[in-house]
Amino acid sequence: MTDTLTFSTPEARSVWQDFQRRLDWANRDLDAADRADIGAEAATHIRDAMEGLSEGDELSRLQAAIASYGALPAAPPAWRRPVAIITHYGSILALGVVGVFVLIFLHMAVMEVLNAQAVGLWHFASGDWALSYEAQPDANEVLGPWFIPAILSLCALASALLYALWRFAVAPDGPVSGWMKD
Amino acid sequence: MADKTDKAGVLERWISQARKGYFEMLLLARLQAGRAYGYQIVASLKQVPGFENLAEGTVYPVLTRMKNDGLVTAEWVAEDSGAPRKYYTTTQFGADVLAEMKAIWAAMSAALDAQEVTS
Repeated sequence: MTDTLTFSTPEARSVWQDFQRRLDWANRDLDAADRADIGAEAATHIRDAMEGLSEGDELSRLQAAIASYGALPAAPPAWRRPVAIITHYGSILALGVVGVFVLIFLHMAVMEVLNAQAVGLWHFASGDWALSYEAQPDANEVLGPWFIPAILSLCALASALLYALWRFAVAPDGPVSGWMKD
Repeated sequence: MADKTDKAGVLERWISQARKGYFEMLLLARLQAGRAYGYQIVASLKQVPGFENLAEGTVYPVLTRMKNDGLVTAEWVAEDSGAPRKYYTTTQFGADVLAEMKAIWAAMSAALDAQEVTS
């Protein structure tokens, strides 16, 4: 059953289309057939309601009929779902890449205990920097005994950020996962 | 502890909860009186105390759920005067459920009356 409501003014058509979007969004948990059926029923309901209103032009009668139908939540913008999908999978990629670096840094902290002369943050005379397992010629190790606290702090900070990212963008009960289902 | 000034708020909350509780029963009762389409059902419900300001659109998801539960059937019927309308009718299962609901309602009412007598 299809919606057969038509309007003569662009304003009324715009109000009607907005109502249809909101209605579809409000019933998003129903299956497609039920949503389509409720949409068609809403059209006949609004038509009946408008016919019952004797005063006002088409637009004002439509607005009154929609007001009686009841408040409907605003539908999300059309871009939200694709952005959510990109954010979700981009975050999984970021979790993997940054997670590998966290593991490498943890490994460096262990290796610093075993080989303190070689492992470190090296500053070259040219101005370049390098995190390395091996002593670098023409470079100074700048952190010294602070290497382990510094790199563990970095790992802790990165882990906290990764956890926050996972909760926000990857967890099944997180907001981004919810937006992907819109 | 609610004081006297909260009475309206307490009643409003209770009425809101109660309305949800007997919404389906009212819909079934209306449809047992005869098949009807959505706008007719809404017009009938708005005559019931507490439902005067019913948001009309709330009826349709409930009717859809009742249809999926087998309490009512729905059928699009082409009207001579205009667009087709979807008519709802109670099923035998819906009639049985309504009878049970009414029995529970009557028992609750009787229990309430008995409380008033004994207190």
